[in-house]
Amino acid sequence: METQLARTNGDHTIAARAADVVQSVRITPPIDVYENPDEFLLLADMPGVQAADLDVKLDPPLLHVRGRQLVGPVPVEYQRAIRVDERIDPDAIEATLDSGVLRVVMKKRASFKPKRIEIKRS
Amino acid sequence: MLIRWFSASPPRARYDTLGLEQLGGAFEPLERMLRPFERGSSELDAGLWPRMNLTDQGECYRLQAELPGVKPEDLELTVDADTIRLRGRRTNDVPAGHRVHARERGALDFERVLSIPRPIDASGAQASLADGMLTLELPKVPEARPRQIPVKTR
Repeated sequence: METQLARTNGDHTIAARAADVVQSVRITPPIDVYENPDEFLLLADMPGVQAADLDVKLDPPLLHVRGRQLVGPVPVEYQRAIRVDERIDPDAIEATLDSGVLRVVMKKRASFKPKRIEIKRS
Repeated sequence: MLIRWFSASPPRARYDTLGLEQLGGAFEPLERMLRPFERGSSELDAGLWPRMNLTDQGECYRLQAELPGVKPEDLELTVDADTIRLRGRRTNDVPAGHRVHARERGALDFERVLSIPRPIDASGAQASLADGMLTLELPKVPEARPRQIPVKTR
């Protein structure tokens, strides 16, 4: 949309024109997903999003993250869902936002954490 | 297609998911070709980073650049009468003791150069970085500001 406008207008300040036309832009944010014995960790790029405009929801088997960026010339909606499994403890999910990066820590249920087995002497 | 503003030496977005960069760039064309097919990649145009908006605010121009996870000390911003140059680095290490399931957020060096449509007063430029968004305000030189022309009746 922006590009088309740029072509027809031959104008440098594309976004200012686009803001008049485009209601909002939907973006699939890039993510990283990591795992260690205790937890899963999700990182998502959501620049310009403030904590109040962020929504993290577990709806098994999906974890939805959604954020609205309202500081730019055109509002941006970030949306992504990842599949999670029964190893995750739904009551132990923590989300923080730092420098435009969403960080969701999903703890594993105790029964799914690796356990060391004591060897008994006979 | 997208309109790009690049410097003479194009920015080398170093995507480390394939590990090809360690071969000294010999496979860069291949790397570029494969980039869209990397697991879970959501952006075809990974070379355009950061995404930017430049808007005309009347008295000033406003540049906004999306810089998630970039620390202020890793950012270098220079402005002259008609050019904005933004250089920097985003580090993104795998957290210690973790294994990787998806890694779409690249660690990269970036550089973008933008020309400003009309002259600005570089000494009055102000920049701030908040929530991963850089905002730069560039006051226009007085001659470039919009002027209201009174219409007289005879």
